Amino acid sequence: MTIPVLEVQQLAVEVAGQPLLYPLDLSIEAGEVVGLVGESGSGKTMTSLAIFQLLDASLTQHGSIRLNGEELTTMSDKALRQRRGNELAMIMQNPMTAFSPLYTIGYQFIELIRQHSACTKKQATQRACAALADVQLQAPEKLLTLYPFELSGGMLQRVMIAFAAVLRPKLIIADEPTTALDLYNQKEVLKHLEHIRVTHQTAILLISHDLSVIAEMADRVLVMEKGHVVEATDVVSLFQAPQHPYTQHLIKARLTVPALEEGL
Amino acid sequence: MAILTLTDIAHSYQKKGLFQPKQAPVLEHISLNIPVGQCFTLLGVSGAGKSTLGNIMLGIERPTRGTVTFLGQNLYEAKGATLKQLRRELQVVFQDSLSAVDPRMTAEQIIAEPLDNYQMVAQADKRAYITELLEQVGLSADDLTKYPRQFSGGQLQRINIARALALKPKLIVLDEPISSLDMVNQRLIIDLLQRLKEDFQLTYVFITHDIKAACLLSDHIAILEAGTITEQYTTVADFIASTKSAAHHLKTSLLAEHPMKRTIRSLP
Repeated sequence: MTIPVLEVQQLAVEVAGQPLLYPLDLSIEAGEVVGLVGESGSGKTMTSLAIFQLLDASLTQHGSIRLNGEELTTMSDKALRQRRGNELAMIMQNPMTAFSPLYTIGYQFIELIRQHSACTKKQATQRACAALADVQLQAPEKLLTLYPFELSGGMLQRVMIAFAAVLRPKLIIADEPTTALDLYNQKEVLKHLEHIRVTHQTAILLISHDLSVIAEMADRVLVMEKGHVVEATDVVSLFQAPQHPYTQHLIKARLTVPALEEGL
Repeated sequence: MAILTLTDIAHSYQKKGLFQPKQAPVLEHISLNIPVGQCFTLLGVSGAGKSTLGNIMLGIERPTRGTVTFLGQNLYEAKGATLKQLRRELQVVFQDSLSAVDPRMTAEQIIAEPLDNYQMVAQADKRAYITELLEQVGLSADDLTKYPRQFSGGQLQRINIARALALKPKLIVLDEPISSLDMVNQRLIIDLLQRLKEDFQLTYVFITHDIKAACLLSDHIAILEAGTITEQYTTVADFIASTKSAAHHLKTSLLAEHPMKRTIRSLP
């Protein structure tokens, strides 16, 4: 049996004895997409920050998080920094605030690549251009000279995917990657994620409140409500026969136009 | 009868240029009639010019060319008392509910602001009137003294709707009112807007990129693409029928409702 890329056991978070996240188990194999769904405030982002070991110091964390068999919770900061970027990467919800407004895309991209791998500036530039071309961005050399605010939200989100994928991480955590985008860009972003998954067998933890995004991409799904995982199942069963009342409520609350979806 | 008419609107923004400033056209040849009592939807992807057109209708972005007629008056020529009266009949709800309110004001103060500007209700009746508005949008008197940060995104959007209703306007421009909300709140706000439209006999201009929300709330759908209106439908049924033939560009962006109907990934 192979080791899962990510194995989380009994992960819990509390602040001053007050539980925020109740014990949660989660594992993702290579090439697999696990969806995390729930309303705002249900603990989705807290779970992803805990996996990244980026929780605020005032929060206490319990349980075990293993990436490729290595325990992250006891790892030194230096070792963690080496894993982040190389082995696990994050795609955030709001592309407008995820970049530094003070530096060009190129400066930030080359810094990221050289921080994590030994290469010259020229090689790093080439890799950055290749990664941007991968997400179908036109004229990557020109793009590197621009500042984040000169790009649209959809373009920036694709740049963020290029940042996340360039070092070929084993795991990508995508936290609401499509929420800030319009329909057209949503679909484009999901296609690029799928492309990365297929070509590099990347494991993906996909966090979204949008059940359509989950329906399109996930293999298995965890449903969260107020810090609890209330249902964990494969994606088809979740939509065909939701067990927990909360899941049923979520599925019912969706905006649906049956006439529009006929024959889709 | 049209409450608002756009006649041959064109708009461009100025771009920086080395020697001469360049004009970047955003909207071209737009003529529209917004019928009374209907929800008129502007559907399009980001960058199509939806919000610019919305701002032109609101009287806050003077178009480079063309006229905007609201309640029989030219919105950009009206002055003084006439303009003030027109503005009262024309309200707006924006996408980002948090940045649309002053963080230092309570819900009561936020809703009272337009009332004070127009001295619409007597000081003594103000609190009762605001409470009534809050109840209309599903909040209560307990929320009067709360600050924006104490509300969720969905609740704050209700306060924005209450503020838009306060002056009993005839037309409300809804600029992506549900796109920053989660699924459950999206549904609740759509239902609320539908009910208020009937109760207050409102006309809406609904700006959205969400094809499903458009189908649920609209009477009339206009598709805005790269600054021009490319298609118009007077009923939702007609719009839906149009998506059945050929590969409609908006329809092909629609995500599946069910994993069995996936369009991006196949099931393992």
